[in-house]
Order: sequence, then C-alpha cells, then structure tokens
Amino acid sequence: MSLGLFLFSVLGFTLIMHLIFVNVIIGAAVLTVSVRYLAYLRNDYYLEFLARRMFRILVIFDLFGGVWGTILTVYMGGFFPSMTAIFTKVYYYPVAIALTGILLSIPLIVMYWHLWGRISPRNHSLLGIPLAASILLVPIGFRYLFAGLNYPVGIMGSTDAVNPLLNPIYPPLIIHTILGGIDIGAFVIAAILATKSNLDVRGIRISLSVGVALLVPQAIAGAYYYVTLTEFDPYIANNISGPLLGARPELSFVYPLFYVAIILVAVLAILGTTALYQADKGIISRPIVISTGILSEVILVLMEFVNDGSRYPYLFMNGYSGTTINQLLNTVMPLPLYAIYGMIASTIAFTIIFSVVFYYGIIKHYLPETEE
Amino acid sequence: MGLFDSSIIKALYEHTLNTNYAFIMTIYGIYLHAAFVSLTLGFPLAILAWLILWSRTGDDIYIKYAKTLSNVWIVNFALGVVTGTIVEFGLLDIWPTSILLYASSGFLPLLYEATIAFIGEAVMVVFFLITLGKWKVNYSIILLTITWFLGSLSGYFILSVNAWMNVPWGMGEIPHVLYPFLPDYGPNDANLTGTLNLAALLLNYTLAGSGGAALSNPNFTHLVSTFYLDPNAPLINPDAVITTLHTLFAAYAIGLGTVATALSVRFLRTRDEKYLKLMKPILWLLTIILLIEPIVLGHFMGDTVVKYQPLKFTALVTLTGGKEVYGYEFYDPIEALFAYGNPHHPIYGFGYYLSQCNTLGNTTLGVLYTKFDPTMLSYITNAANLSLADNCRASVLSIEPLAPLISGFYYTMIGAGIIVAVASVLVLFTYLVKVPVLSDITDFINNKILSVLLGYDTVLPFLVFVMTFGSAIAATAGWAAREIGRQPWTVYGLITSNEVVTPVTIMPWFVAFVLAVLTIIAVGGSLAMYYVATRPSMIKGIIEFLRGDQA
Repeated sequence: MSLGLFLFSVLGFTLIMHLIFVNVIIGAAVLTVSVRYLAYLRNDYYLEFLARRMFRILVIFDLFGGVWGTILTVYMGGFFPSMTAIFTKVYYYPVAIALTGILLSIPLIVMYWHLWGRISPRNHSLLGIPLAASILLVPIGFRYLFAGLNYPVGIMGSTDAVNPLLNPIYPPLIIHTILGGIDIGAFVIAAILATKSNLDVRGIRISLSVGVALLVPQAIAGAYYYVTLTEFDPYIANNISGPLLGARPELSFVYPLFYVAIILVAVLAILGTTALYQADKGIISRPIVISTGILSEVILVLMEFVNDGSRYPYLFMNGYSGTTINQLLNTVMPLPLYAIYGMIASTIAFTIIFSVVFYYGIIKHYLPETEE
Repeated sequence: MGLFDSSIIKALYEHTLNTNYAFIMTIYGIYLHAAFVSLTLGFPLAILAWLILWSRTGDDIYIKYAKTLSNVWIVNFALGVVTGTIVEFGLLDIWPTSILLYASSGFLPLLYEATIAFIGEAVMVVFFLITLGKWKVNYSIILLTITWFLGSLSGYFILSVNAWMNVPWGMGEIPHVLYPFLPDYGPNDANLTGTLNLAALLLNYTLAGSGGAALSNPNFTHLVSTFYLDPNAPLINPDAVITTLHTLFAAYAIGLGTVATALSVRFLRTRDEKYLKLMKPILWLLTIILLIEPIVLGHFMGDTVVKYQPLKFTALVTLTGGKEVYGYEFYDPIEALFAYGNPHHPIYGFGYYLSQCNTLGNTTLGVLYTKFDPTMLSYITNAANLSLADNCRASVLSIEPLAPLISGFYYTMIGAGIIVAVASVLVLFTYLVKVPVLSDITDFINNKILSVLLGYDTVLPFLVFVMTFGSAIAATAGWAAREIGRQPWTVYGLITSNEVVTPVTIMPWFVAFVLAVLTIIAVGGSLAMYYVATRPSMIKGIIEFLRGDQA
C-alpha cells in the first residue's frame, strides 16, 4: 500500500469513527429537545423521563465524538496540510459557523443538564432550541468542506467568499446528513432502550417511530444527492453506481459496498417496521430492536466509505479527474510510520476503554438520568 | 531612506491590519484557554489529596468535597475543551501557515496529544466521575491519577510545539546564518534547500498580500519538498522540557490556589474550622509548588531565554537597563549574575545585534538563492535585491519599540513571583511545619505584624489570596513577555507573523463577534462552575426569586 493510500485510509477511518458518534449526537439532540417539549406541552412525566434518558446518551456521545473530531483535524493538518489550508481559506466562514456551533453547544449542554428541573419546563424547553440549533450548526458548517471536495466551486484560485457557499452539491448533502443523523440517533436510542437494564417499551416505540418514519425522506434525500452527483461529479457517481446502474466505474471496491448498503437499508426498514409493529402491541423483541441500532451505524459506515472512498485517488474532484492525494500529501517531513501505528493503536485502546465507560454509564446506569 | 520605507521590509516586519486583528482574537482565546486549563490541571490534585485523606481517615467531609469539586472540574473540563477548540481552529483558520507545524515540527507532539493524551483524558475523566463513590476509593485514586497524568502529558505535547516556535530545535545553524546573533538550534536536522524553498514561497505570498495563502497552493508541499528531517527533535527540545515544567507548575498552582481561595472565603464567612481542615493538604502542595516554580524552574526558564533568544533577553531587561539597552552593551550585575553566573558579564544591547547583522555584508537574497536554490529564484524576484543585512537589521529594529512593554511584563512576573514565594514561606513554616529559626521568623511576621494589621483569622486567607492571585499575575505576565518577546517572528529566526496570517480579510465585526462569544463562554462558564460549587444555596435563592419571595 502506498503512503498516500495508507494516510487517506487512516483519515477515512478517523472520519467514520467521528461520524459514528456525531450522528447519534445529532439524533439524540433533536429527539431530546423535541420529546422534552412534548413533555411540557402534554405535562407528561414519562416523556420528560424519556427525554432525560435520551439526553444522557447525547452527553456521553458528545464528549467522545468531539475527541474524534479533534483527532480528525490534526490528522488532516498533519497528512494533507494544503487541503486543510484550502479549507480554511475557501471555507473560512463555514468553518467559523461550525466552530461557533461547537463553542455554543458544550456550555448549552451543561446548562441544559444542570437546569433541568430547576427552571420552569417552558423555559427549559426554550433552552432546547439553541441547544439543538448549535449542534446542527456543526454539520451545517463542516459539510461545506465535503461539498468542496466533491465539486470544488471556488477552490482553485478564486477569492470570492460567496461563490463556494453556493456549491450545488451542498443542499442535498446537508439534507441527507441531518435526516440521516436524526434517523441513526433514533435507532441507536431505541437499541439502548432495548437493553435489559434500560428496557422501555414506550420509549422504544417512540424512537422506532421516528427512525422508521424518517427512512422514506432519508431515501428521497439520498436519491436527490445521487442525482446531483451524477450531474456534477460523474467520477464519483460512476464509482458508486457500478454496472447494475449502467455505469463503468474506475474503482471496483466501491459499488459492491454501495449495493450492500442499499440492501441493508431495506433490511433495516423491514426490521424497524417489524419491531415497531410488535412494540405497538406491547411486545419487544430485544435482538431485533438492538439490531436496528447496529444496522443503522453499519449503513452509515458503508455509505460514508462509499461517499469518500469513491473519489480515490483524488481529494478534490473536478469532473473525471482532480487533485490527487499524492499531490496534497505531506512531504515537508518524513512521516514516522511507527508513530502513526502507535497513534492508531492508542485510539483503538481508548475506544475500548470508552466502551467500558459507555457500558457502566449507560447500561449499568452509573451516569444518572437525573442529577444526583 | 529608512529601512522600513522598503515595501519588502514592511511586508515582512510591519504588522498588517489582518495580523493585528488576528492577534487580538488569538491572545484573548489563548488566555481564556490557559485560565480554564490551569484549573483542569490543578483541581485533580486537590481532589486526589482529599480522596487519599478519605481513604486514610474515613472522614466523610473529604469525599463530600471531593465529589463537589469533581462536578466543578467536569464543567471546567468542558470549558477547557471549548476554549481549546477555539485555539486549535484559531490556528488553522486565522493563522493558516501554522498548519505547516502540524505537518512538520508539530506533527508528533500535536498528533500524540490528540491520539494519546486528549482522547485518554476525555475517556478517563468520565470514567472517574461515573465511578466515583460507586467503586472502591483506591480505584478512583488510580483513575484520577491517570487522568491528571494524561492532562499534564497533553500540556507537554502542546507546550513543546510552542517551545519549538520559540526555540526551533533541529534547525541547526540556519537561523544563525540569516541572523548572526542567533545561536545554533540543536542538530542540523533541517534540509537547507527545503528550508530555502519554504522561505521563498512564504516570502512570495507575503509580498503578494498574505503569507497565509502559501499553503493553499495545491503544489505547496511538493514545491517545498522536505525541509525538516527529525520528527522527534521538538520533543527533546531543551526549551520544551523547561517550558513544560514551568508552565505546568504555574497551572497546578493556579488550580490549587483557586480551591484554597474558595475555601478561605468560606472560612472567612463562616469561621467554620472544617474549611481549614480541607485547606491543609492543598496548602502543602501549593507551597511546595510555589517554592519550586519561581526559584528553580523560573531560573532554568531564564537560562534558556539567555541562551537561545538573545533579542528577547535584551528586551526583558529594558526597564533596568534604560537607554543603554539600545546601545552596544551595558552592565547590570544582578541580571548578569542570574543570566551568566557572572555579575561582570556585559549584557548585549540592540546595537550589538545590529552590528552583528553587518557581518552579512552585501549578500542579497538573489545571490543567496542563485548559489543555493536557483530553482526558486522566480519566487523571490521582487525581493532579489533585499540584502540579508537589511533583513537582519529590520528584525532587530522591529522588536525595539516593544522592548519596554516586554520588560514591563517580565518585571511584573518577577515581582509577583517573589511575593508569591515569600507568602509560601510564611504559610509553610507557620501553618504547615515547624522548623527552628525559620518558623520563629515566619511566626513573628504572621502573628506579630500581619495579625495586627489584618486580624488573626484573616492572615492565612490573606496569604492564600496572595499566593493565588500572585501566581495568576506572574503566569499572565510571564506568558505575555514570552510571546511578545518572540516578535517579530512566529517561529524564532525563521517565519514572521505576517507570513502566517490568513489571506481572508478579517472584518472588525468578526473580531467583535469572536470576542463576544469568548466573553460569553468565560462569564457563563465561570458562573456555571460557581453554580455547581455552591449549588444548594444558589438553588434556594433561585427558587425564592422565582416564587417572588424576595419581593
């Protein structure tokens, strides 16, 4: 494996790890705030309790998701410095928007947590609006970078600050991202609520309802994104489509994964609908519900791999060619591979420890639903 | 015609409006981050002390306060993450050439920081918090110790990058060639051609309007090729080691001092002895740290400045040297004793450095590149006639106006450090341990002088205030002296600030927006920590307020 491909893969792995957490954060934030608001409207104590459980998941995922975001950033700067510099130059303001979202979301999470039950339900519900908005600002800002990779409007040479913001790839990408985030969050929450110590039939029903209901608009958004790619990004679209959709892909490893992901979406739809149907009757098949959460994350991993891997060997696409990975690769210093292996090992080790923390915090209830 | 009438010199050494705006945001952001991180590093020591005492004595007061402080700590940790994110993105977004650090000298420190220290600290802090009180105390002590170690390790990695910007270890004799008054910076781990390529590209973009645009050239890395050879060099930089110890000790002191101050306030309000009991282990740690920090670590920190940053050293002593610092050399026995171990050693003035520049003769950039790196001549066409001597002189002249300010910060740090050390001695030998003669002296000062002036019960809280606020003042002023003293360079002897700043025009409203967000975070965050620490009484007050009881 060439150094460029290796570092591209490490970056991709880190991005996917980041997104595994971030999507749950998006979903958990929107659902927490919505359910909490419903609890206030209906004066429903159960819904408030459910919102607290959802929020607990948000808290523990947010911290680790942010950590992976930091790792992703330093890898970008370390492996592909010019790509990072292009981002900060062309997408100065979208990056600033995302950063503002990060900055505001963390104190808002702390405030939301501590003020729960201490201020009126109405005011607490209102506090949820800036909380959810701040969390959504992060993908709203950062997805511009991905749109720029696929279709480099204003990337090369232009100094126009507005033009890059009108990237035609961006609208379908951000809609797909946000719907997907809420969807994944809903399925993962349902899965957690189906664990033995968290079993909650009504909570599962509510979460699955959201998850299943959003599969349709999510599929439409996906199709919209795909159609946009075929128009502006023929190289990527061809690699994703594969021979079944009449394309002649340059890469042979992308479209099979895309097909698998599509099949898994269908499986998720069937399992989710079945689980929801059963839950409506008060029956919970724990393995099925838990599998919907796992499946949603597996689909995310595959789809994101397809989305980013399909541009190989380019980073910035431009029609059928683009700026290659090797052109943007860091050559200003011999990169110490032993250290990079160590870094990967360390992140995996701490992810395992995080899983232990997750187990104790969420499954064993060490992280309280109400503040002690 | 003056040196600064040259457009090339101006472009390199006279801060643009963008640079000034960028500095405002960066300085505010970094200080805010430092404030929160100091608490993040200091609080665990207090929690550890209380947990150890709880395990030994079984006195529940220790676990109660350990839990409260842990809750404050997690809020503070979140604020440290927030402000750290600001600093990180500030570097990437506002100072894009600093991305070069991620790709070269900062590669190992920054990537190790993220993938070992920070990820570990973030996981372990949650692990510790959710298991505190649920697992055996010894496990909690182990988890907290690991968390604190990882936090400190994070500090080492980050500070080693800052240290490299001050002392670019591994660049060997290259800075010395361009600025003859600079020493060699460690082994020759830099590739001369690569370094010249880099310098030509940065110069080219700086003259075109902004050096920060250089990296966004997709061919940048290939044009530079390899300029830095040893990724490990920044981690063994002598300045990194002492900077880390000096800064971490200051952070521990501020964190511990904040806890001690909070307890002192509670004691003064309630006269409850339990606060003194809680304070005692913290004072042990605090006094020892504050005696080592200014006396031992401060001295070694000063040594590295004298050795590796001569211009900065001269700027530091401007207030005592007076006008003579602008001459060739002068004598200051006290500074010379500490700096060189010899009170008769001359201290070099800016005139000396200017004269050193003359040794570069009439060599121009064009001549230099023609001889060593002709492929990059096209990038330096506009500056080909710039003489290396003029470039060297401009660097000296550009720090001269800043020298009184740098010196002011330096002596503020020294003064605060002396006061803090004295306060630490007074606390140590009167309230913590009795040592013949020494304790007699401190007892006399505390009990016969300060008690009369302040009241018996107020002496210890007063000394705690002095230690805490003195530490904060010393740290703030010391860091200002360190960073302003790095001017005119961002990387000492290699890259100027104008070569690093973003090409995107920074608008005043954007600066105001960033400062407003930072201020909201600072105020909101501080209130949140206060709220968590004093929650019962505050909640009562809020409830009363909401019910209209106060009316």
